[in-house]
Amino acid sequence: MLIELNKVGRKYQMGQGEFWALKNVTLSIPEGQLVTILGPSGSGKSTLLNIMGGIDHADTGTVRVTGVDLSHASERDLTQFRRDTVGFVFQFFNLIPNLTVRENVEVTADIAKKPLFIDEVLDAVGLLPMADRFPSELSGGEQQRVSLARAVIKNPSLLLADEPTGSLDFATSRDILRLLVQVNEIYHTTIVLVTHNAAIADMTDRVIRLRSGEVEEDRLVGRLIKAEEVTW
Amino acid sequence: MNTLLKRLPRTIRSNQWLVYGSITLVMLACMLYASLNAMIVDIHESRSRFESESRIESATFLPQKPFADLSSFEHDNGLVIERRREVDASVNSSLTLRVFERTTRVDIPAITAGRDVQTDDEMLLGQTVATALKIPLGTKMTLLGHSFTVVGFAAVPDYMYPIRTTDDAGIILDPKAFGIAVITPAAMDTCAPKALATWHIRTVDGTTATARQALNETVGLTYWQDITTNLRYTLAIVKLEGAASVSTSMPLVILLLACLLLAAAQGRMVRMQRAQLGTLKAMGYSTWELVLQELALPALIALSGSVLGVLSSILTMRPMLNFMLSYFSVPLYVATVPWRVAIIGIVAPVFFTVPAVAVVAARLLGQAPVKLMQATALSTRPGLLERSLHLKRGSFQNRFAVRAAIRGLTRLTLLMLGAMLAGYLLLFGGAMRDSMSTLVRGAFQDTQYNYTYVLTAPRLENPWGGEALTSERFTTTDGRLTFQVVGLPATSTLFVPHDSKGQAIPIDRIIITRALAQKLNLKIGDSLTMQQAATGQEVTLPVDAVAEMYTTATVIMPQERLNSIVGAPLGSFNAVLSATSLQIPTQDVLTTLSMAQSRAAFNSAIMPLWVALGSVAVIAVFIALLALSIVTTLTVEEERFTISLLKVLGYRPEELNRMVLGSGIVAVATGFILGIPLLLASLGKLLSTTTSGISFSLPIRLSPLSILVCAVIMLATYLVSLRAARRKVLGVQMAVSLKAARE
Repeated sequence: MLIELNKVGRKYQMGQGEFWALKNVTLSIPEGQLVTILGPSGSGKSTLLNIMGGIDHADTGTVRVTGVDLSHASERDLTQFRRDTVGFVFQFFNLIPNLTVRENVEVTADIAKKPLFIDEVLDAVGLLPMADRFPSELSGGEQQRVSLARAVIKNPSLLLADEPTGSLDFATSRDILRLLVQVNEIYHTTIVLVTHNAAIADMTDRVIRLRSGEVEEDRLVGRLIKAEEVTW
Repeated sequence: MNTLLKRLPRTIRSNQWLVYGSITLVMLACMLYASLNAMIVDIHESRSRFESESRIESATFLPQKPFADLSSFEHDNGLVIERRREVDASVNSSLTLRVFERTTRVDIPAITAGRDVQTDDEMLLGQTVATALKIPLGTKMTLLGHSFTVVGFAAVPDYMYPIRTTDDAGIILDPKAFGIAVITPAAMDTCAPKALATWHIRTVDGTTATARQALNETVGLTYWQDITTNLRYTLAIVKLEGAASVSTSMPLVILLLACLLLAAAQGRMVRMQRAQLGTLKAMGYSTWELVLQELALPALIALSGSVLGVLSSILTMRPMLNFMLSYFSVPLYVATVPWRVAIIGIVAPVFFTVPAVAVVAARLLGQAPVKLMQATALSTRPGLLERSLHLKRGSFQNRFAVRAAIRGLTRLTLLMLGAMLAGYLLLFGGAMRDSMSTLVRGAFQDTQYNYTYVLTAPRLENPWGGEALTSERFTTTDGRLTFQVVGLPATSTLFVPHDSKGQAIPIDRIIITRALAQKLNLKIGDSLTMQQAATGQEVTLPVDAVAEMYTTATVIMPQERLNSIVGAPLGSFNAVLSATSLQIPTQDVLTTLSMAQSRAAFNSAIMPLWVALGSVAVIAVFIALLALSIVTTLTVEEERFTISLLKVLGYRPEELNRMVLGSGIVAVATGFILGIPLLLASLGKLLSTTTSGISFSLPIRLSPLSILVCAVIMLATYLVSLRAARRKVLGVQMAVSLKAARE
């Protein structure tokens, strides 16, 4: 298994009391799977994704990703884990505004063990002609494609996408989803995609539905539709 | 309470270092400003009251014959005249007191502690010597063979700067070796009936021309000295005025720089909240309401810092006043922080900071809410410079660092200015140390003699041994500076001047010391016009060489040339230098000065300078370090998003350092280096003001070692503050930080 979570819990301090964002989450994800995590706001989707990516920690339970025990990893080990294993795609792109498109991708390539060719990846996401532009000169969809290229360039074992279409229009969203599927198919990258849009679930292998920090549903879907057929 | 104002304590809690650091910065700057200014105002007011209440003389004179009817003369000419006897008494081998009889009409002693003399076995002791030697009231002293009890400490207005003699040898104040004492006239009759009597005159308006003429016509004059030419008075005035200019200008500059830094830091804090402000504006808040909200924090910082600063100045002012007055014999009538100084100290930081932040906030809030909300760290457009920069070469991390530096150019400029201020203030301390060390080390290197004997009259033969020379007092043509001109034999081995390269300068030319060159702004090839003090005869000489002597303003020339200028017989001399003690008959010697005395007096003279400038430097260092820390903290806060993102992407802390914050060190280094010429230029001006009117000048020196030490201190401060600020950012959950960046 690429990801193994066992009774994972995460709590936050809320004034005098505490709030459990995740409670006893146990699940495993095999290599190469394209998984959707669904749930309403506050259900713990992003928290779960952040814990899988090593940018947040679990308060209870164990988390193993690609064999690395993230629950007991040092800060240095977590850094190395993120550096070698994980790619992130964020809802709001999180590009660095004063770097060009190429340089934004290079940010990751520069520290990757065996990065892909930048031009190839930019070409794959359709941004090669815009390689010297700055993020502010791009549309939202184009910026998300840069974000995707930045995540893919290091050929990660795991790609985590937090609401990647959340701030995009319908057509652009389908374009991004198509690219995510392509990445999964071409590079066999395990992709965990967080969304509150149930329509996306049918194009993935599996759906994990969260409610109030607990797994409400975990079922295989088997890619019922193609990305181009997703509609909402 | 306004809901938005509730943010204030939370903002303070989450930016504790920035807020408390800023308050401390303003407090220190205000404290320095208020205490130094209050000190100067208090001394000035005390001196004015002293001159008035103690009825300072307008002049001192010696009549050729006694007054026939002094009362009538006084009445007819509207004058007050009083005779005062004085005699020097050795208390022990190292302390001499000039004992005056108690006067009642002119130059009346002011009692600074204890009480006035009531019986003939009581005495008043000068406050400078009492302070320097820690002599308590009630001490018994034997003066002129009689025992006296010290019942009070006193200041006498014509001895405001209590020096033994007013020639070059005695001009240096040494309160441990020389002071004044006052006894009753009856006690003076008993102890020293033949003491020298001088006459002291006070005119109504302070002018003396008419009185001098009247005295000349009535009793004739053998000696006359206006108070305005009496070094025991004028040196006090010159030094106090010099201290006043340093004490008012430098703290004001530091205060203004602190305000500038605070305004810049607060302005940037406002900009960091642009998305929040945009949201509030979208919710219906007016620009004006939001601007006022944003002013709460800077106003609170400026006001609390300045109030604390002014309050603490009340505590720091008193020891500073006492220190100053241990070198100037002035009673302390006023010791408060004047309202004017307190109000300026409190208002200035608010006045300079709040409007500046208001302008920043108003300009920012002039934008549409949607633009404010969109223009977060994630979508800000790169500037023209960034867009035109096409970086293709070098490693990615280096190129990233260059882009980060260009993007943060304004912030780096602020950091550079902070570093420049810090560097300037740090180096100030270093330069003071180096300059003083150079002065002390080089003070006596050119003089191989241990004794100077000044003879009562010129002589042609020297039966006693040693090296004969001619020495005469000259003044500048405007009379502002008095200095010694020394005629040496060409073969002199006891006094060998050296140039800046350490080469001995032969005594066949006109040599001036560096102290004189600096005071009169002279260099080799210039001409020096001067007047002989005794005759007023004017002479112009070329400057052939400059000797590296900072301790005395002197002209050195061949002995026969000086003899010919002053009209002394060829081969004559009026002073003798010697390495060993000589047996010259007492009646032939006017004064004897040993180098040991000179060294002690010299060290004593530079002490107040050293302490005054040193204490300013210590406070300045704290201010500098705080300034640097504030700017650094701000830098890291502003880079919070980039740091978090790169961390998410897998960059290690050391790589983050280099890429995002690496350019900061360049700014700090640039600021520090720029501080060096700034310091050297301003220090020259500062030191020339501080040492004006006295016979030595301070060499401006800044050694590589001091630069290195200051650089290390500054670098360490920068790195520590950087580390503290970075730890805070790295401690924040990456996910939270990234989320916050888009809110």
